[in-house]
Amino acid sequence: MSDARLRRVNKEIADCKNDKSSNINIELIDNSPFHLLGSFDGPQDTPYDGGHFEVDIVIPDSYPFQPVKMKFITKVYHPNVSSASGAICLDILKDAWSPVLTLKSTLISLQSLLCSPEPNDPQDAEVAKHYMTSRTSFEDTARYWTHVYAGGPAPTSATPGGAVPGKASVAVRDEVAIAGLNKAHVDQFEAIGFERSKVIDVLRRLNYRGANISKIPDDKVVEELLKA
Amino acid sequence: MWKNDPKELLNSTDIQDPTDFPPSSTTPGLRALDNALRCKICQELYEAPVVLTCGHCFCSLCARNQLSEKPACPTCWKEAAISSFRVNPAMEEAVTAWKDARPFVLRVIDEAIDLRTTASESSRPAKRHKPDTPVLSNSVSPRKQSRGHDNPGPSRGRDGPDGNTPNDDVEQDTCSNTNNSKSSVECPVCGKSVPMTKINAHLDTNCKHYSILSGGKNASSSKSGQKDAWSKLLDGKRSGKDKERPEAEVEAMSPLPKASYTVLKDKQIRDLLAAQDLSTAGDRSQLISRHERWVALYNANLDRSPALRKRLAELRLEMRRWEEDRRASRKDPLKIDITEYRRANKAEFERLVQRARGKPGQESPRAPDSSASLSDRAASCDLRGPVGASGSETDTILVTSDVEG
Repeated sequence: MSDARLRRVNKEIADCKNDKSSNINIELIDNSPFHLLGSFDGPQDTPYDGGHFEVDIVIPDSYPFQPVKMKFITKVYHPNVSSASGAICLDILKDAWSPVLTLKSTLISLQSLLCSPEPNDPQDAEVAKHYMTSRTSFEDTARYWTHVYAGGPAPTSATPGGAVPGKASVAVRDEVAIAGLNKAHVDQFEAIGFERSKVIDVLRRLNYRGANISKIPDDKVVEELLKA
Repeated sequence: MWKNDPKELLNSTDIQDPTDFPPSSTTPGLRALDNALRCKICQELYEAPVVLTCGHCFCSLCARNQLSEKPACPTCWKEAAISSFRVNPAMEEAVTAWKDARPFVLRVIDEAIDLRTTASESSRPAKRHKPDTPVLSNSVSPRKQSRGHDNPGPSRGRDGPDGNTPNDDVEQDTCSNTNNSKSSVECPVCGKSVPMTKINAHLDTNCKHYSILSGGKNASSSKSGQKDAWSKLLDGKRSGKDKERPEAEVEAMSPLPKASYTVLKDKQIRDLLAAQDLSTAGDRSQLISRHERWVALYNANLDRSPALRKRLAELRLEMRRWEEDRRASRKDPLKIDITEYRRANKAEFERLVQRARGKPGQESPRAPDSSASLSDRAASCDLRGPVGASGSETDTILVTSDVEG
């Protein structure tokens, strides 16, 4: 069984190496052929365009009869991807897995998941709420994350893709929203006397959003702010 | 085989896949053909192919493993059951032939590409033929041999000693070699077969010349030739028996029934294993998975055509390898977790310990990874947890250390 698994993984890696057209890469992370690093480019015409996304791949013992375990290493702002852990909510990684799927086809599915989010079956409730309430604001944040974490192009926040033309007045608020933060929280720490940009930077790093807030004590934030 | 160095393993050539063939622009259809003869589950050439009710084809063992996870075809999700498997001898035949042809085709392609490149550099017609001929003769001969295996070899020898004199037999033997080259004819007078080139001389000498020549040559070796013929006959019979015995043994095998383990006691499962001469060591789950695996292996073997079936000893060897692999894979993560991981992350641990000491009662160095992902789904943004709850503390440490590192 293990031997068959090894042989199959080998073929899949070779298959990816030989196929230049798909732009999907698979590399070894450590000395185990069952712990891999997949990567692909963000799909065009989405907020993820231009970014390069890395995925941690763990191949279970009973592969291919059990699904591969995948999670994003690169932070992604997406309703079906946890903004904290990178966990992915995708049916084929769970009960819809089939042994005829391959690492390549699964990574391609992830790529297309970035094109078409499923906010009704969210992994990250906060992001999904953001997506449902304000698409343009969500896309700004996703683009910002792509730039910061995935090496995408710098978002032109003044004119974000022509989606919100001529709204210079909300540019200040945007900075907070784009980082995926709540304005009230930023204001709260700014009131203590820290620079606004610093506050945004630290809160973004701490992932000070949604349910996570309850886990991050104020002291911790202040401590980080003092260090910054 | 378990190889530890993944790089070496990636370069190893014993693992074949469709990309061994050039893309369809260079050799149309070959890559697709190789792919079509491969099981979509294990991506190897089909072993004991079976067809599900939906028409999709898999290796018997792969399909058995999959259906024990989920009773549906992995390609189209139509319902499927082991009881409705149908063997696919046509596919098996195609795969057997392709296994023979594959290395030959690959070599011919390589040479064709080589030729094209050398031809473009400088045209040397003399070299064009030379590499071709050995390739052909090399590749044709094994196929001839295998055909020889199919036809029972001793039949020719059996005819000889029946009615003919020993001399005749020997002569026929020697002539049959020339027969193959299509250059011998039967003498219309004496009825012996004579090389075409010598038939006139043979007739001119009243059917003596050739027989004298060959008789003179063979007279000394006739006895040993006779012995050879007999030993060939006996050998053939013996080897035939050797081959037939396991076949008969295999043919007599009937598929093992599936056991419903939930209603069986440990001892009954042990009895089942003992009845198959398998180890009865280990706990209940090990016993069950061992028996399941054996039933799958055994029954999958029966889905091969009788000539290709493996012997019980080979199945047992496979079984033993599987158990070793399982044991190895069960040990591996533990080893990595405790010793390797601790050594690799020593600096990080010490840093965290240092920090924890600096601010007593604030932080602890262990960080459970899963808590972050779990908490995502619970969207309760307005509640702030009590400061100092251990789970939340560790989470924040994880986040910060990730960013800084």
